[in-house]
Amino acid sequence: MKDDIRFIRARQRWSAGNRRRNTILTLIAVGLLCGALFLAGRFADEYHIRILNMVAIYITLAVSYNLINGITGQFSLEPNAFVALGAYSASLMTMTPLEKEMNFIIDPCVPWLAHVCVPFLPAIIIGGLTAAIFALLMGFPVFRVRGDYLAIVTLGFGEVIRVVANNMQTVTNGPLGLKGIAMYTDLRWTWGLALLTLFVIVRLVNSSYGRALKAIRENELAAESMGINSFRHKLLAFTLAAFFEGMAGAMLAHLITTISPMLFTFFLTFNLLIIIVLGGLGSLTGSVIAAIAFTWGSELLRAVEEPTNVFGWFTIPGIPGMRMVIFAVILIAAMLFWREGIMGRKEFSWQWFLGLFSGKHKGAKSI
Amino acid sequence: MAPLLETRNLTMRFGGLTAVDNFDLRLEQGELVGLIGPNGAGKTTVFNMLTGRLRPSSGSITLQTDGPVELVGLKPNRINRLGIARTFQNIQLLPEMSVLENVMMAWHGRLKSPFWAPILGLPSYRREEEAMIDGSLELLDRVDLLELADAEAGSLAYGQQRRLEIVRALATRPVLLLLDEPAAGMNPNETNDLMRIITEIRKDFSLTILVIEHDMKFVMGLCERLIVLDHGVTIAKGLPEEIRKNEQVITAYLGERRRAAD
Repeated sequence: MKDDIRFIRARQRWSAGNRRRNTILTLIAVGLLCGALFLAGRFADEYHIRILNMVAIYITLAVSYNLINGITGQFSLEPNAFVALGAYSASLMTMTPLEKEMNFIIDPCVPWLAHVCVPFLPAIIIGGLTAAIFALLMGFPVFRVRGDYLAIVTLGFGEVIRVVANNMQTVTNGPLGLKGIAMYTDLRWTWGLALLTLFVIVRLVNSSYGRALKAIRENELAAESMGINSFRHKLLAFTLAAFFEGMAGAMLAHLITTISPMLFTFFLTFNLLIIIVLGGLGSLTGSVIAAIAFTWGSELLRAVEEPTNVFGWFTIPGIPGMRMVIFAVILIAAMLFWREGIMGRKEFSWQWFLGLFSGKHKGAKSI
Repeated sequence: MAPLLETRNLTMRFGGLTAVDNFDLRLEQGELVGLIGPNGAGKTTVFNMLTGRLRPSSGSITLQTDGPVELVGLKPNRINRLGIARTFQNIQLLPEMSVLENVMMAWHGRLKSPFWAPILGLPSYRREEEAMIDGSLELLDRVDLLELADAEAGSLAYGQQRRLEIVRALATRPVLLLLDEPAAGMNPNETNDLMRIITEIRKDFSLTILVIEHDMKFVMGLCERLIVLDHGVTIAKGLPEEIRKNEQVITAYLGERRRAAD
């Protein structure tokens, strides 16, 4: 029997050897991505660079949202709040006192914010931390409930943040929003954050902590009976997700340079929900694929909202909002025929990828 | 010496129903005690109170580890960390995770590394994970599940799932093990295997065991002492031989009319 253990350990050491190969392959892939982005930054036009930036921001948001909704299985509806917190706090940090004076025309900005001005990197981190601290405080009441109730409570919190942003005239400039935010965000920042988010969350999910989160998703009763503090683990996933969502919000604000409470409605959360459900709840790979498809797809679908001339015979007038109708149809179709999303709970693995070439199809590793 | 676990006047009321009434239990170190009674007698409710799943309406539960600890009001995960592990009447595994991962989960509550240790790839975390894998494989070997380490837990046969649940409880390093109908749904061969395994682990891990079971062969063959519950009331306590002949117990199980007919 001891021999069996030795055999299994040997097999695991072999897979540990594969781990080194996987690390090298991952580094090569990241290198290729960086090269491609560098070329894109050099030669692509502004419109396509904007899309690439949005893709990276949506990857960050979807992967961190999936950590709490998919991996931990706690259905929550609040990321618009965290994105708003990150966007507002980072923007207020980077805007110069002069810009603030020009923005706050109805009521002057509160003194403790009016004279602050910090570089972009600390502002991003402050954006992330603001969201994370809020998530931590919010976690105590909301994780007293589960399931549908959790969804409703978090939805409420998301709306509260938006309403607060709308009414705290002296801090957020109310419905006027903030204009003239410096456009610091570029491909390096957005993709750097996306890769950092992926690195941290993938490592966490593949560790003992990730197994604990999945255990809470699969059977909270059993997890607690095994000594796992489910409340603390939910709080961990929630806070970490909020940290990255807040940073993504900071990036977003410094990309579009104008923010107002209207930008952070439930619609933002809904878009992210479409992404993670379409990609597969619990699959980080699925979130990445769906984030790319969604962001790119919604740009391609802009065509349907513009007047179209069909072969010179007649003209279809553009219907604003038609994109969302098409997305809804796609989502319904996916829920009918592809119930688990693109990836289900499976993840990309090099083992599977190399198997595609050697003809041995082993299937993606389930996590 | 004070008993390992002592409950005093443990009572659980659900609205007007008293599910468990003034339950007194003294478990000495190393004992194997059976908790029996007809369906709905309140046996599982007792387990749920001992493990923190239910908060008793009144009464106290004291566990003697380094010193006496009052368990009423503690959360299930805290009670598990103090040394009480359990299995469930309806098996509660993590069905989509592997057999090995199911056992490794039991280590997580004792993990010393903070959450950022695996993210940074610290060697201290890697050592802990290695120890986790080694320990889990050894435990799986003990219950003949080693070959199935990589299988999905939900795909296991019923008897194997039962054994996996026991070994997972063991992996949390308990001093007291609570088994809720471990032999339910098993054939005689599987029951015999289970009895052997329980005897072995009890000796090797110096465990105290409290077991709920309906299989009388199992109870009579294994338990040193029995407690009989009926409608939440403790109707008898004593050696298996005494319980077998106890009038009240026979009435509880077979009913008044049947006895009258005899």
